[in-house]
Amino acid sequence: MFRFQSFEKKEENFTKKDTPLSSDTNLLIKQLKEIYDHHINKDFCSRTLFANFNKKNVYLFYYASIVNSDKIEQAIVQPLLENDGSSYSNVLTNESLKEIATIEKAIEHINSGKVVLLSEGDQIAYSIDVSQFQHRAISQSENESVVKGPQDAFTESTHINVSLIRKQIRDKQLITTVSSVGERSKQDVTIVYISDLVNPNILKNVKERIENIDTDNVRNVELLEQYLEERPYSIFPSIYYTERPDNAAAFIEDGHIILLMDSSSACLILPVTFWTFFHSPEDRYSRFMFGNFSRLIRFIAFYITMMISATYVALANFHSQMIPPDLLLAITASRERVPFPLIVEVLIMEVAFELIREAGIRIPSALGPTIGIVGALILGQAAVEANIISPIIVIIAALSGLTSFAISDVSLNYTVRITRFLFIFAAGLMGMLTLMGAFLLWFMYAASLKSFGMRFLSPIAPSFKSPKDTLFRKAVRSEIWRPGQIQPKDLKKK
Amino acid sequence: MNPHKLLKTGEMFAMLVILLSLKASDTTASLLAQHTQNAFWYMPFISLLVVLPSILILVHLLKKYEDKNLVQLIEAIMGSWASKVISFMIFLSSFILMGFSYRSYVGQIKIMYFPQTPTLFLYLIFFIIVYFAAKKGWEVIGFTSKIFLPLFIVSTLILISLTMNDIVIERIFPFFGSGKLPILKEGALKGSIFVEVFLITIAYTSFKKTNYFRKGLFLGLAFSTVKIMLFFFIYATLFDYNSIVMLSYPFHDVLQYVHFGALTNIETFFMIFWLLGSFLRYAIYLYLVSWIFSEIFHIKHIESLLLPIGFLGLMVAVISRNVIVSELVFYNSISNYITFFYIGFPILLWLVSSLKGEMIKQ
Repeated sequence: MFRFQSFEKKEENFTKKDTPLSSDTNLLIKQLKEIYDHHINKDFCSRTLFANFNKKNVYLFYYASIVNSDKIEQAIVQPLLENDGSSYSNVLTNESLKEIATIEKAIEHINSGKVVLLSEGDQIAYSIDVSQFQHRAISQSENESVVKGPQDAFTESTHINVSLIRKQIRDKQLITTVSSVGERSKQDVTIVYISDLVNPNILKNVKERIENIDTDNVRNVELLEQYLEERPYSIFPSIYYTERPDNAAAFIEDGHIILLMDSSSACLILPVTFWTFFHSPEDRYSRFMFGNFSRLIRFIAFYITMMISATYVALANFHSQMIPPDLLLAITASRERVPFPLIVEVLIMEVAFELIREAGIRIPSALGPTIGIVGALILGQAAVEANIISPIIVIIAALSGLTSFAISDVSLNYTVRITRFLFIFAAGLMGMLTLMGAFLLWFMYAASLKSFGMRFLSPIAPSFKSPKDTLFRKAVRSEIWRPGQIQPKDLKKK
Repeated sequence: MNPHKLLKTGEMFAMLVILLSLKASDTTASLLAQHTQNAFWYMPFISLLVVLPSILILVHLLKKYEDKNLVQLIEAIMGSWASKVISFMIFLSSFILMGFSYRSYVGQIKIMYFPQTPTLFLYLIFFIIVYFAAKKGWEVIGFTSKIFLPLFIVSTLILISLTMNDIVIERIFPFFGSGKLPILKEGALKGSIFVEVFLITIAYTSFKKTNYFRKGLFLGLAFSTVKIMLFFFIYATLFDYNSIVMLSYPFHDVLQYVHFGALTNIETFFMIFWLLGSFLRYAIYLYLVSWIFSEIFHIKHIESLLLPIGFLGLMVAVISRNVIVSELVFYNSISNYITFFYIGFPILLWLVSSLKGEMIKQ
């Protein structure tokens, strides 16, 4: 154990140490080439030029696959060969020219798509940003589609994503800062916020948490989310994940913080409340009445998807007096030849629905409709005819499955689906007594959660000055406050 | 004002209403009807009048001695030893009341919905749910109460509207039931209906502004009294007092009685809200009792006391085997005795405090 620890410590020293650049340029070049395994690493390039202005040899290092080669020719090679000047900053007029003093920095810059330039005899290197990571073009939002509202979605490039946000918020205080994450592979996390709105404590907390992530590589925001959240085992999400720039912009304007990374076509929004997950951007784009109507429908769907199976189990098993006699007789008659207990029947159908759903996501899109027909129609029909399940269970499971699609947010959708099973088990134990107990505890758990210091059920309880945009919303023009629960610097909207 | 505290008037109102108004659903109505016959429906008002001066005095003292909760206030006024005695009396009485009403609620669940389930099993389930609910802490209980209260009120309104057709107003006469004197006597004795108002002052300092606490307290008190009286009025006019004396749980009989069109048995619908309410009520109760205990003995973690105190309360509930004995004899006499204590101690505090003030002035 002791040896293991000391070994770890040594290694840490080795990686954390800052090595100043050697004045012996040949040695330095050799070192760099060794670090990058130059002889086998094919896209690592090193070039030698003769600079015109100081008559010295200049060495360039970069990864060919992640830089724009035209830009290298125009911004580096041509000026060095032809231009006159007194120093590198005069000759290389690119805006991103930076001085580097350590090998570690040089490595970091090469890895992130910059050209590192060594000048013979100098102890300082220069880096010029010529990176060109390949990415998709902007496409339509597929997972959070709306009928009324902008259609574009984020793509896998921070540059483009920030531009999509800036297009909607022309505010001089809209800040994009960068924190790096990861030990071995340093990735940039872009933090976007409006500096005279954001709550500085939350911002500090977020930055600290990003800095404290202790792992080799965090590739994208989907993984970053799991490194940032406070309760990894909770069934409730505490960070909102969206691929819509208009959604992100709306949250930024309320004082929230957005995190972007280069290889994700989505952003993270924090802090959030339950209502963040419950809402859809379209609720605001639709007029007051229409938006609230769809909220009402969604709330009913939310209730049905979580509770209907459990309620059925509780009513049919423990409180059958509640069911009108005719319906009760029909249920009993249809269950007569079914060999399983009611709760098993319900579980069979719920699990079957989850199976179809999971298979539906993984299946190649050409086969999609087939699985729907085979799974839903034929299997369901056959199962009823074979007396494995009773027809009413098909209705119940179909209802609870269908309504779950009204919860558009991916994370909350999982919460609801897991909760549904918890409630079914609770209802199977002692009917309404345990079902309501489970519901109360589930609810209180939600009420006790915090997302970056913000209570999950605010602004209802605890109450704050806010646009009162919770289950229903007010007319847009009568919203006066920003959400007070995140304590923005400027609470008043108008 | 404390920016780190989040509880406001709404939470206080909700918690007090849940604590008090659920009494409309237990045996209180039946206990009152034993002695006062059909005057029982306005007895809560008489009881309120009896305890109101003490409540006002207590709130006045709390306001005067800023930033002190019930136990700290008693300690500040009465000194170390006397305060320990009074505070412990408060704890003991509330603890025993908790045990008894615990029994009463589990009894209701058993008789109305699970007659074949072993009582002990029901106790355990009830206890587990209440314990974990209370363990979430005072603030979360407050938030939950606040969000659930509208549901309770809506379900109450639905229930009241369903009973409207069968009410016979004439049943409230003779207005003074068994006679004016017995009514006043019984009303005074049952001041303990409002004992939770005294207990909740332990949470005086847990609100964003103490003003929120006072506002919530008086609004909640008024609302709960009206709600209890409204329910008692419905029992009196729906069943007449003779039946109430016989019925242990008139609330559940109302639930059994009402119907909604073709749905003849809708008690399960109302049972949902009643269950949620009683879980929450017990979570609040358990938390308050543990809080009082922790303040008396300066124990920091209230949450670690919930399990032992809750479990001992469960034991109190299990001891008496018979509903009639436990409700009509024990609970009745205990609630009569403690009324004097709760009316008395704020007055004592006030006297000592003003005497002390006089002495300091001199």
